[in-house]
Amino acid sequence: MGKDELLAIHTQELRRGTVTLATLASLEQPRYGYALLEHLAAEGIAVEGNTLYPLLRRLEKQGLLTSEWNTDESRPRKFYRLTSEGRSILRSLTREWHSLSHAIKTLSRG
Amino acid sequence: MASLTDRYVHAVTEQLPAAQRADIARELRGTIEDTLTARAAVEPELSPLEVERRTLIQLGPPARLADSYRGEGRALIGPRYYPAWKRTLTTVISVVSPLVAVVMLVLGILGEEPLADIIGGVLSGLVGSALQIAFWVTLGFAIAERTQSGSDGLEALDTHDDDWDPDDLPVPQARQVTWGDAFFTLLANAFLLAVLLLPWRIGGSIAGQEVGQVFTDTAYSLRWVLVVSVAVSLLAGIIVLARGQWSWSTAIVNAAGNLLFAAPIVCLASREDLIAWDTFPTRWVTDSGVIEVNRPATMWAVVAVVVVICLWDAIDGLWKAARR
Repeated sequence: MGKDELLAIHTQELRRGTVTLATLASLEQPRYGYALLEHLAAEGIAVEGNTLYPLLRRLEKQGLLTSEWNTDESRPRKFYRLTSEGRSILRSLTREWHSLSHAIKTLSRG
Repeated sequence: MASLTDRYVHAVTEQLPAAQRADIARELRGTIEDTLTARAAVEPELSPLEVERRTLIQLGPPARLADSYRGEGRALIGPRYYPAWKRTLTTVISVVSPLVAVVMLVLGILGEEPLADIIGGVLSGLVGSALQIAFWVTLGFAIAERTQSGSDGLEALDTHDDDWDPDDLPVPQARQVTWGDAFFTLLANAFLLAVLLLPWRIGGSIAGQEVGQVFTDTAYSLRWVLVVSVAVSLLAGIIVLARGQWSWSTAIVNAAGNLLFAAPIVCLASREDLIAWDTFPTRWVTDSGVIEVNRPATMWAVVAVVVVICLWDAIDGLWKAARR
Protein backbone atom coordinates (compact mmCIF):
# COMPACT_ATOMS: atom_id res chain seq x y z
CA MET A 1 0.00 0.00 0.00
CA GLY A 2 1.42 3.33 -1.10
CA LYS A 3 1.86 6.37 1.11
CA ASP A 4 -0.85 8.34 -0.72
CA GLU A 5 -3.30 5.51 -0.29
CA LEU A 6 -2.58 5.27 3.43
CA LEU A 7 -2.98 8.99 3.80
CA ALA A 8 -6.33 8.84 2.00
CA ILE A 9 -7.56 6.10 4.33
CA HIS A 10 -6.51 7.91 7.51
CA THR A 11 -7.83 11.25 6.30
CA GLN A 12 -11.18 9.65 5.59
CA GLU A 13 -11.22 8.07 9.05
CA LEU A 14 -10.45 11.44 10.61
CA ARG A 15 -13.13 13.25 8.64
CA ARG A 16 -15.87 10.72 9.18
CA GLY A 17 -16.90 11.92 12.62
CA THR A 18 -16.65 15.57 11.66
CA VAL A 19 -19.42 15.34 9.07
CA THR A 20 -22.04 15.17 11.84
CA LEU A 21 -20.54 18.18 13.58
CA ALA A 22 -20.29 20.15 10.32
CA THR A 23 -23.90 19.24 9.45
CA LEU A 24 -25.25 20.34 12.81
CA ALA A 25 -23.18 23.54 12.63
CA SER A 26 -24.67 24.37 9.20
CA LEU A 27 -28.29 23.90 10.11
CA GLU A 28 -28.93 26.90 12.36
CA GLN A 29 -30.69 28.11 9.24
CA PRO A 30 -32.91 25.65 7.34
CA ARG A 31 -31.31 23.93 4.36
CA TYR A 32 -32.33 21.10 2.03
CA GLY A 33 -30.11 18.14 1.17
CA TYR A 34 -28.38 19.30 -1.99
CA ALA A 35 -27.97 22.90 -0.78
CA LEU A 36 -26.32 21.63 2.38
CA LEU A 37 -23.99 19.42 0.34
CA GLU A 38 -22.91 22.45 -1.71
CA HIS A 39 -22.59 24.63 1.38
CA LEU A 40 -20.33 22.07 3.07
CA ALA A 41 -18.27 21.61 -0.12
CA ALA A 42 -17.81 25.39 -0.41
CA GLU A 43 -16.50 25.46 3.18
CA GLY A 44 -14.02 22.68 2.40
CA ILE A 45 -15.98 19.72 3.84
CA ALA A 46 -16.29 17.24 0.99
CA VAL A 47 -19.02 14.73 1.73
CA GLU A 48 -20.80 12.29 -0.58
CA GLY A 49 -24.55 12.49 -1.02
CA ASN A 50 -24.91 8.85 -0.07
CA THR A 51 -23.40 9.70 3.33
CA LEU A 52 -25.11 13.03 3.91
CA TYR A 53 -28.73 12.27 2.96
CA PRO A 54 -29.13 9.21 5.18
CA LEU A 55 -27.28 11.10 7.96
CA LEU A 56 -29.86 13.89 7.87
CA ARG A 57 -32.60 11.30 8.32
CA ARG A 58 -30.80 9.69 11.25
CA LEU A 59 -30.20 13.02 13.00
CA GLU A 60 -33.87 13.87 12.51
CA LYS A 61 -34.88 10.53 13.99
CA GLN A 62 -32.63 11.23 16.98
CA GLY A 63 -34.49 14.50 17.50
CA LEU A 64 -31.48 16.73 16.73
CA LEU A 65 -33.01 18.03 13.51
CA THR A 66 -36.51 18.80 12.45
CA SER A 67 -37.71 18.90 8.85
CA GLU A 68 -40.39 20.55 6.81
CA TRP A 69 -41.43 20.12 3.19
CA ASN A 70 -41.38 23.32 1.21
CA THR A 71 -43.61 23.09 -1.86
CA ASP A 72 -43.55 26.77 -2.82
CA GLU A 73 -41.08 26.17 -5.63
CA SER A 74 -41.47 23.91 -8.65
CA ARG A 75 -39.41 21.18 -7.00
CA PRO A 76 -40.60 20.18 -3.52
CA ARG A 77 -37.72 20.21 -1.03
CA LYS A 78 -37.29 18.94 2.46
CA PHE A 79 -35.68 21.57 4.69
CA TYR A 80 -33.83 20.52 7.83
CA ARG A 81 -32.92 22.71 10.80
CA LEU A 82 -31.61 22.29 14.35
CA THR A 83 -33.91 21.55 17.26
CA SER A 84 -33.07 22.89 20.72
CA GLU A 85 -31.70 19.47 21.60
CA GLY A 86 -29.61 19.52 18.42
CA ARG A 87 -28.28 22.93 19.39
CA SER A 88 -27.26 21.64 22.82
CA ILE A 89 -25.51 18.62 21.27
CA LEU A 90 -23.80 20.93 18.78
CA ARG A 91 -22.44 23.06 21.64
CA SER A 92 -21.07 19.99 23.45
CA LEU A 93 -19.55 18.54 20.28
CA THR A 94 -17.95 21.87 19.43
CA ARG A 95 -16.43 22.02 22.92
CA GLU A 96 -15.15 18.47 22.40
CA TRP A 97 -13.71 19.50 19.04
CA HIS A 98 -11.80 22.40 20.57
CA SER A 99 -10.47 20.33 23.42
CA LEU A 100 -9.29 17.68 20.92
CA SER A 101 -7.69 20.34 18.77
CA HIS A 102 -5.96 21.77 21.83
CA ALA A 103 -4.79 18.31 22.90
CA ILE A 104 -3.35 17.60 19.47
CA LYS A 105 -1.51 20.93 19.50
CA THR A 106 -0.01 20.16 22.92
CA LEU A 107 0.90 16.60 21.87
CA SER A 108 2.65 17.61 18.67
CA ARG A 109 4.65 20.25 20.50
CA GLY A 110 6.01 17.25 22.38
CA MET B 1 -40.27 3.59 -20.00
CA ALA B 2 -39.24 4.60 -16.50
CA SER B 3 -36.19 6.90 -16.37
CA LEU B 4 -32.94 5.75 -14.76
CA THR B 5 -33.75 8.02 -11.81
CA ASP B 6 -37.21 6.45 -11.42
CA ARG B 7 -35.67 2.99 -11.47
CA TYR B 8 -32.95 4.00 -9.01
CA VAL B 9 -35.37 5.60 -6.55
CA HIS B 10 -37.62 2.55 -6.78
CA ALA B 11 -34.71 0.14 -6.28
CA VAL B 12 -33.62 2.01 -3.15
CA THR B 13 -37.01 2.56 -1.55
CA GLU B 14 -38.42 -0.91 -2.15
CA GLN B 15 -35.81 -2.11 0.36
CA LEU B 16 -37.00 0.30 3.04
CA PRO B 17 -39.85 -0.05 5.55
CA ALA B 18 -43.14 0.84 3.84
CA ALA B 19 -43.81 3.76 6.20
CA GLN B 20 -40.69 5.66 5.05
CA ARG B 21 -40.81 4.84 1.35
CA ALA B 22 -42.89 7.70 -0.04
CA ASP B 23 -41.08 10.41 1.90
CA ILE B 24 -37.57 9.15 1.15
CA ALA B 25 -38.52 8.59 -2.52
CA ARG B 26 -39.73 12.17 -2.82
CA GLU B 27 -36.64 13.62 -1.15
CA LEU B 28 -34.21 11.37 -3.03
CA ARG B 29 -35.81 12.21 -6.37
CA GLY B 30 -35.60 15.94 -5.61
CA THR B 31 -31.99 15.61 -4.53
CA ILE B 32 -31.03 13.70 -7.68
CA GLU B 33 -32.78 16.32 -9.82
CA ASP B 34 -30.93 19.11 -7.97
CA THR B 35 -27.67 17.30 -8.63
CA LEU B 36 -28.52 16.79 -12.32
CA THR B 37 -29.30 20.48 -12.80
CA ALA B 38 -26.07 21.56 -11.09
CA ARG B 39 -23.98 19.00 -12.93
CA ALA B 40 -25.41 19.80 -16.34
CA ALA B 41 -24.42 23.45 -15.80
CA VAL B 42 -20.83 22.47 -14.89
CA GLU B 43 -20.37 19.87 -17.63
CA PRO B 44 -22.46 21.09 -20.59
CA GLU B 45 -20.63 18.75 -22.98
CA LEU B 46 -22.26 15.69 -21.44
CA SER B 47 -25.61 14.37 -22.66
CA PRO B 48 -28.44 14.49 -20.10
CA LEU B 49 -28.42 10.69 -19.97
CA GLU B 50 -24.69 10.60 -19.26
CA VAL B 51 -25.11 13.19 -16.49
CA GLU B 52 -27.85 11.03 -15.00
CA ARG B 53 -25.72 7.90 -15.21
CA ARG B 54 -22.72 9.54 -13.55
CA THR B 55 -24.83 11.05 -10.80
CA LEU B 56 -26.39 7.69 -9.97
CA ILE B 57 -23.04 5.88 -10.08
CA GLN B 58 -21.72 8.44 -7.59
CA LEU B 59 -24.65 7.77 -5.26
CA GLY B 60 -23.62 4.11 -5.28
CA PRO B 61 -25.51 0.82 -5.66
CA PRO B 62 -29.14 1.11 -4.52
CA ALA B 63 -28.74 -1.69 -1.96
CA ARG B 64 -25.93 0.19 -0.23
CA LEU B 65 -27.83 3.47 -0.11
CA ALA B 66 -30.85 1.60 1.27
CA ASP B 67 -28.62 0.02 3.97
CA SER B 68 -27.37 3.46 4.80
CA TYR B 69 -30.91 4.87 5.13
CA ARG B 70 -31.83 1.99 7.40
CA GLY B 71 -28.70 2.67 9.41
CA GLU B 72 -28.04 -1.01 9.88
CA GLY B 73 -26.63 -4.03 8.14
CA ARG B 74 -28.66 -6.38 6.08
CA ALA B 75 -31.10 -8.51 8.05
CA LEU B 76 -31.75 -12.15 7.14
CA ILE B 77 -35.19 -11.07 5.94
CA GLY B 78 -35.35 -7.29 5.52
CA PRO B 79 -38.37 -4.99 5.57
CA ARG B 80 -38.92 -5.46 1.82
CA TYR B 81 -39.76 -9.14 2.17
CA TYR B 82 -40.80 -9.43 5.81
CA PRO B 83 -44.59 -9.15 5.24
CA ALA B 84 -44.46 -11.62 2.34
CA TRP B 85 -42.24 -14.00 4.33
CA LYS B 86 -44.63 -13.95 7.29
CA ARG B 87 -47.66 -14.44 5.08
CA THR B 88 -46.06 -17.32 3.19
CA LEU B 89 -44.85 -19.02 6.34
CA THR B 90 -48.19 -18.89 8.15
CA THR B 91 -50.20 -19.92 5.09
CA VAL B 92 -48.02 -22.86 4.13
CA ILE B 93 -47.64 -24.14 7.69
CA SER B 94 -51.33 -23.82 8.47
CA VAL B 95 -52.26 -25.81 5.35
CA VAL B 96 -49.47 -28.37 5.05
CA SER B 97 -48.83 -29.29 8.69
CA PRO B 98 -52.45 -30.31 9.45
CA LEU B 99 -52.49 -32.29 6.16
CA VAL B 100 -49.35 -34.14 7.20
CA ALA B 101 -50.88 -34.74 10.65
CA VAL B 102 -54.00 -36.21 9.04
CA VAL B 103 -51.88 -38.48 6.84
CA MET B 104 -49.98 -39.67 9.93
CA LEU B 105 -53.24 -40.25 11.76
CA VAL B 106 -54.71 -42.29 8.90
CA LEU B 107 -51.51 -44.31 8.45
CA GLY B 108 -51.41 -44.95 12.20
CA ILE B 109 -55.02 -46.11 12.34
CA LEU B 110 -54.63 -48.30 9.24
CA GLY B 111 -51.48 -49.77 10.74
CA GLU B 112 -53.41 -50.51 13.95
CA GLU B 113 -50.67 -49.01 16.03
CA PRO B 114 -50.92 -48.29 19.76
CA LEU B 115 -52.61 -44.99 20.59
CA ALA B 116 -49.41 -43.49 22.02
CA ASP B 117 -47.55 -44.20 18.76
CA ILE B 118 -50.33 -42.65 16.72
CA ILE B 119 -50.33 -39.48 18.85
CA GLY B 120 -46.55 -39.37 18.70
CA GLY B 121 -46.64 -39.76 14.92
CA VAL B 122 -49.20 -36.99 14.52
CA LEU B 123 -47.24 -34.61 16.77
CA SER B 124 -43.91 -35.35 15.10
CA GLY B 125 -45.61 -34.86 11.72
CA LEU B 126 -46.94 -31.47 12.81
CA VAL B 127 -43.69 -30.24 14.33
CA GLY B 128 -41.41 -31.83 11.72
CA SER B 129 -43.31 -30.41 8.76
CA ALA B 130 -43.53 -26.96 10.39
CA LEU B 131 -39.76 -26.95 10.94
CA GLN B 132 -39.08 -28.11 7.38
CA ILE B 133 -41.37 -25.43 5.96
CA ALA B 134 -39.88 -22.71 8.16
CA PHE B 135 -36.39 -23.68 7.01
CA TRP B 136 -37.12 -23.80 3.27
CA VAL B 137 -39.29 -20.70 3.19
CA THR B 138 -36.74 -18.69 5.17
CA LEU B 139 -33.87 -19.93 2.98
CA GLY B 140 -35.78 -18.96 -0.17
CA PHE B 141 -36.57 -15.50 1.12
CA ALA B 142 -33.02 -14.98 2.39
CA ILE B 143 -31.73 -15.73 -1.14
CA ALA B 144 -34.32 -13.37 -2.65
CA GLU B 145 -33.23 -10.73 -0.11
CA ARG B 146 -29.60 -11.06 -1.15
CA THR B 147 -30.10 -11.11 -4.90
CA GLN B 148 -31.25 -7.92 -6.54
CA SER B 149 -34.86 -8.17 -7.60
CA GLY B 150 -34.23 -7.44 -11.24
CA SER B 151 -30.79 -8.89 -11.67
CA ASP B 152 -30.57 -12.24 -13.23
CA GLY B 153 -28.44 -14.45 -11.12
CA LEU B 154 -28.09 -16.04 -7.75
CA GLU B 155 -24.42 -15.10 -7.93
CA ALA B 156 -25.29 -11.44 -7.28
CA LEU B 157 -24.99 -12.18 -3.57
CA ASP B 158 -22.70 -9.24 -2.93
CA THR B 159 -24.52 -6.01 -3.62
CA HIS B 160 -21.73 -3.86 -2.22
CA ASP B 161 -19.84 -3.45 -5.44
CA ASP B 162 -18.52 -0.16 -6.70
CA ASP B 163 -18.55 -1.18 -10.34
CA TRP B 164 -22.21 -1.06 -10.91
CA ASP B 165 -24.06 0.02 -14.00
CA PRO B 166 -27.25 2.06 -13.71
CA ASP B 167 -28.50 0.30 -16.88
CA ASP B 168 -28.84 -2.84 -14.75
CA LEU B 169 -31.43 -1.15 -12.56
CA PRO B 170 -34.65 -3.13 -12.63
CA VAL B 171 -37.68 -1.55 -14.25
CA PRO B 172 -40.46 -1.48 -11.65
CA GLN B 173 -43.11 -3.92 -12.80
CA ALA B 174 -46.32 -5.45 -11.64
CA ARG B 175 -46.21 -8.99 -10.22
CA GLN B 176 -45.88 -11.55 -13.00
CA VAL B 177 -46.99 -14.35 -10.72
CA THR B 178 -50.10 -13.87 -8.60
CA TRP B 179 -50.01 -14.71 -4.90
CA GLY B 180 -52.61 -17.41 -5.48
CA ASP B 181 -50.63 -19.20 -8.21
CA ALA B 182 -47.37 -18.98 -6.31
CA PHE B 183 -48.99 -20.25 -3.11
CA PHE B 184 -50.57 -23.18 -4.91
CA THR B 185 -47.20 -24.25 -6.37
CA LEU B 186 -45.60 -23.83 -2.97
CA LEU B 187 -48.27 -25.79 -1.13
CA ALA B 188 -48.15 -28.63 -3.66
CA ASN B 189 -44.36 -28.86 -3.40
CA ALA B 190 -44.36 -28.52 0.39
CA PHE B 191 -46.95 -31.26 0.79
CA LEU B 192 -45.07 -33.55 -1.60
CA LEU B 193 -41.87 -32.91 0.33
CA ALA B 194 -43.54 -33.58 3.66
CA VAL B 195 -44.96 -36.89 2.38
CA LEU B 196 -41.60 -37.94 0.91
CA LEU B 197 -39.97 -37.23 4.26
CA LEU B 198 -42.35 -39.45 6.23
CA PRO B 199 -40.20 -41.72 8.37
CA TRP B 200 -41.80 -44.95 7.20
CA ARG B 201 -43.04 -46.28 3.91
CA ILE B 202 -46.56 -46.84 2.68
CA GLY B 203 -48.11 -50.22 3.35
CA GLY B 204 -46.94 -52.90 5.72
CA SER B 205 -46.69 -56.65 5.95
CA ILE B 206 -49.06 -59.30 7.15
CA ALA B 207 -47.55 -62.62 8.24
CA GLY B 208 -44.30 -61.86 6.42
CA GLN B 209 -46.18 -61.01 3.24
CA GLU B 210 -45.66 -57.39 2.06
CA VAL B 211 -48.94 -55.64 1.47
CA GLY B 212 -49.94 -52.39 -0.23
CA GLN B 213 -46.46 -50.96 -0.55
CA VAL B 214 -47.26 -49.51 -3.97
CA PHE B 215 -43.60 -48.77 -4.81
CA THR B 216 -40.73 -51.23 -5.11
CA ASP B 217 -37.79 -51.26 -2.71
CA THR B 218 -35.57 -49.72 -5.39
CA ALA B 219 -38.09 -46.96 -6.01
CA TYR B 220 -38.37 -46.41 -2.28
CA SER B 221 -34.63 -46.12 -1.80
CA LEU B 222 -34.51 -43.50 -4.58
CA ARG B 223 -36.97 -41.24 -2.82
CA TRP B 224 -34.06 -39.11 -1.55
CA VAL B 225 -33.46 -37.99 -5.12
CA LEU B 226 -37.09 -36.92 -5.23
CA VAL B 227 -36.70 -35.13 -1.88
CA VAL B 228 -33.79 -33.13 -3.31
CA SER B 229 -35.67 -32.39 -6.53
CA VAL B 230 -38.77 -31.18 -4.69
CA ALA B 231 -36.63 -29.11 -2.32
CA VAL B 232 -34.93 -27.48 -5.32
CA SER B 233 -38.27 -26.66 -6.99
CA LEU B 234 -39.66 -25.46 -3.68
CA LEU B 235 -36.75 -23.08 -3.23
CA ALA B 236 -37.21 -21.67 -6.75
CA GLY B 237 -40.95 -21.33 -6.04
CA ILE B 238 -40.32 -19.38 -2.84
CA ILE B 239 -37.94 -16.97 -4.57
CA VAL B 240 -40.50 -16.44 -7.35
CA LEU B 241 -43.20 -15.86 -4.73
CA ALA B 242 -41.04 -13.30 -2.94
CA ARG B 243 -40.06 -11.41 -6.10
CA GLY B 244 -43.27 -11.88 -8.03
CA GLN B 245 -41.16 -12.49 -11.15
CA TRP B 246 -39.48 -15.41 -12.83
CA SER B 247 -35.85 -14.95 -13.80
CA TRP B 248 -33.60 -17.17 -15.88
CA SER B 249 -31.84 -18.52 -12.80
CA THR B 250 -35.02 -19.44 -10.92
CA ALA B 251 -36.57 -20.93 -14.10
CA ILE B 252 -33.48 -23.04 -14.80
CA VAL B 253 -33.27 -24.21 -11.17
CA ASN B 254 -36.96 -25.08 -11.29
CA ALA B 255 -36.54 -26.97 -14.58
CA ALA B 256 -33.58 -28.89 -13.11
CA GLY B 257 -35.73 -29.80 -10.10
CA ASN B 258 -38.45 -31.13 -12.40
CA LEU B 259 -35.95 -33.11 -14.47
CA LEU B 260 -34.50 -34.61 -11.29
CA PHE B 261 -38.01 -35.61 -10.23
CA ALA B 262 -39.12 -37.16 -13.53
CA ALA B 263 -35.85 -38.86 -14.52
CA PRO B 264 -35.70 -41.52 -11.75
CA ILE B 265 -39.38 -42.34 -12.25
CA VAL B 266 -39.01 -42.81 -16.03
CA CYS B 267 -35.79 -44.76 -15.50
CA LEU B 268 -37.38 -47.13 -12.96
CA ALA B 269 -40.47 -47.55 -15.11
CA SER B 270 -38.41 -48.59 -18.12
CA ARG B 271 -36.77 -51.26 -15.92
CA GLU B 272 -40.19 -52.41 -14.66
CA ASP B 273 -38.99 -51.57 -11.17
CA LEU B 274 -41.37 -48.81 -10.13
CA ILE B 275 -44.59 -50.32 -8.86
CA ALA B 276 -44.63 -53.28 -6.45
CA TRP B 277 -47.43 -55.17 -8.17
CA ASP B 278 -47.07 -58.21 -5.94
CA THR B 279 -47.99 -56.25 -2.81
CA PHE B 280 -51.57 -55.55 -3.79
CA PRO B 281 -54.31 -57.36 -5.66
CA THR B 282 -54.26 -56.94 -9.42
CA ARG B 283 -56.48 -59.84 -10.36
CA TRP B 284 -60.04 -60.63 -9.43
CA VAL B 285 -62.13 -63.66 -10.36
CA THR B 286 -65.75 -62.72 -10.98
CA ASP B 287 -68.77 -64.56 -12.31
CA SER B 288 -68.18 -63.18 -15.78
CA GLY B 289 -64.50 -64.13 -15.87
CA VAL B 290 -61.14 -62.83 -14.67
CA ILE B 291 -60.46 -59.10 -14.39
CA GLU B 292 -56.79 -58.23 -14.43
CA VAL B 293 -55.04 -54.90 -14.16
CA ASN B 294 -53.12 -54.03 -17.30
CA ARG B 295 -49.83 -53.47 -15.55
CA PRO B 296 -47.74 -51.77 -18.28
CA ALA B 297 -50.63 -49.52 -19.30
CA THR B 298 -51.30 -48.48 -15.69
CA MET B 299 -47.64 -47.89 -14.96
CA TRP B 300 -47.02 -45.84 -18.09
CA ALA B 301 -50.17 -43.83 -17.48
CA VAL B 302 -48.80 -42.90 -14.04
CA VAL B 303 -45.42 -42.05 -15.56
CA ALA B 304 -47.05 -40.01 -18.34
CA VAL B 305 -48.97 -37.92 -15.81
CA VAL B 306 -45.79 -37.24 -13.81
CA VAL B 307 -43.79 -36.34 -16.94
CA VAL B 308 -46.51 -34.04 -18.31
CA ILE B 309 -46.83 -32.20 -14.98
CA CYS B 310 -43.03 -31.81 -14.65
CA LEU B 311 -42.66 -30.69 -18.27
CA TRP B 312 -45.52 -28.23 -17.96
CA ASP B 313 -44.09 -26.75 -14.78
CA ALA B 314 -40.55 -26.47 -16.19
CA ILE B 315 -41.68 -24.89 -19.47
CA ASP B 316 -44.07 -22.52 -17.72
CA GLY B 317 -41.19 -21.10 -15.64
CA LEU B 318 -38.81 -20.80 -18.59
CA TRP B 319 -41.47 -19.19 -20.74
CA LYS B 320 -42.30 -16.62 -18.08
CA ALA B 321 -38.59 -15.88 -17.59
CA ALA B 322 -38.19 -15.32 -21.34
CA ARG B 323 -41.26 -13.10 -21.54
CA ARG B 324 -40.25 -10.85 -18.65
